[in-house]
Amino acid sequence: MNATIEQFVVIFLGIFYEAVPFLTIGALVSAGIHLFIDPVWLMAKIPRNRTLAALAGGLIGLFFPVCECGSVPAARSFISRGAPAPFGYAFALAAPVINPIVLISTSVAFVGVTGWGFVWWRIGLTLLVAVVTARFLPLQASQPGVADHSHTHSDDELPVLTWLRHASTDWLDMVRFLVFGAALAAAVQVFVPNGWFMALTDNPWLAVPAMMALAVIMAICSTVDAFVGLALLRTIAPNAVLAFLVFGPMIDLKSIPMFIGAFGTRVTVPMIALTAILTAAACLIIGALGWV
Amino acid sequence: MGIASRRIFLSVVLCTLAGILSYRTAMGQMALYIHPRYELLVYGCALVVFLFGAVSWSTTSLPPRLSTLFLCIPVCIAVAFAPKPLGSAALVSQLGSLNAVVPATQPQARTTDTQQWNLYEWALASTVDITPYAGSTAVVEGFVVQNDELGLPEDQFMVARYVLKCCTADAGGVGMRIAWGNARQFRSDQWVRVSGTISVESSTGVPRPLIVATSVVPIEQPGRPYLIP
Repeated sequence: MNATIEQFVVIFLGIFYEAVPFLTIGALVSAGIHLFIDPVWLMAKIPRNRTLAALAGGLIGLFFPVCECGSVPAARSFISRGAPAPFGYAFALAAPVINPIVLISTSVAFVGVTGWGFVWWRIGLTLLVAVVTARFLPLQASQPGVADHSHTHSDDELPVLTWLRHASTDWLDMVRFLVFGAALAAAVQVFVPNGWFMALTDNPWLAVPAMMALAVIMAICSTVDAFVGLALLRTIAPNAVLAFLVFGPMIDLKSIPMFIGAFGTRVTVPMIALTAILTAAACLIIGALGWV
Repeated sequence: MGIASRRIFLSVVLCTLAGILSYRTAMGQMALYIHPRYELLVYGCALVVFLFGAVSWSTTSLPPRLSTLFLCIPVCIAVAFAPKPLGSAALVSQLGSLNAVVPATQPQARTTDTQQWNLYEWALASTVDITPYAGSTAVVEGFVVQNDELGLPEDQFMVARYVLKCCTADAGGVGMRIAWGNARQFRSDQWVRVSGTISVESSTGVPRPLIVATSVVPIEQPGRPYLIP
């Protein structure tokens, strides 16, 4: 069999097998939000001010340990249950980093090498980019997932069955985007060698966008990307590695189709653009000032 | 296709996926794709997906046809393609970044006995200074890489392995050159155990290790072919 096809299959299945449990957790959390969180309570607790709502959404991930595969369906559920859209957008963008598992993995990877500075930069910059992006995204999105997201069940059904029905609907709704994204990421990895991006990293101005592009293509789960970033630190400028660790968990080839499925292109396109511009600008400034 | 048929089809696809996830994990084949620490999570996922299949049997709201069709893609690929790890073909595209998976810090090797070092531990030593290890005994296992792009002389080949941190999408290669008189007798992807002594070459200005082999023995591909740091 053609070696290129074999390579594609191994990488595609690797991404799918690794991501599908996290999508499943996300669907179960999403269904839990739908069933167990009262919209009135939620609307009372979350600030209506867009900036504060986005800040709350950026921080709520501390209580929901989900990576990018799980954060999108959960964010969609928050919005459909009455949370302000900036809350959901900021959660979708920030939760893959601002959650206990990733904070621990980043600390374990970097504290011994760079001290706490790099860890705080990753957390702070992720929160800043997510909140600012979510603050300025359209409120009235063409949200196919949100608008069509309804379930029916009989009142005498066991709660666990209702929960499973909700979760399976969410899961089936998002899995097509995961399959498409995983196939896209695998195809690009096979046909566009990483070396092309690594070659650009010698230039201090190109290193940041090159590493962001590499993060999009590699589509690594945020729970472990710190260890990949640590290996890159040996040959790549720290601010470019920071860009890799901030941008990758927010936007990658497997999450983009999920964003489109959940929020529509009217939100996803400016979301990607704003996130990219803010991350690149911040990391270039941080690098120029020698802060990392 | 009627509603009832679509329900049955969806249930079958979901239960098949659950079966694939469980079977591959139970047979140790999931280690060809993802880090072993996720195996428990995959079992849990398989159980939930199976339950999704069960509730789909009587669901009143079917997903879009496109969702079911997309779900068939990984199921069909997983059934159609025999489980296989990444091999030498994928490594050739990484030659420029070989050993780049070694972190900036220098984690200690498991032991000071170099005979027990794997290719990752030799890569760790190479990033600092391989010179003190000249003359040390090395015994490493990996797959053979024969490729013109390596630019190796006739009496040398490369033995390599992948280091996995999450899944095959982030797998990075580590490798060493092997000096062996009959270097071309091994085909690419053949797994071998190489014994020999370390020689240090500095022809490019950077000291690089070379194992001068005293024996090269073909072996079976290990159950867990990737190195886990």
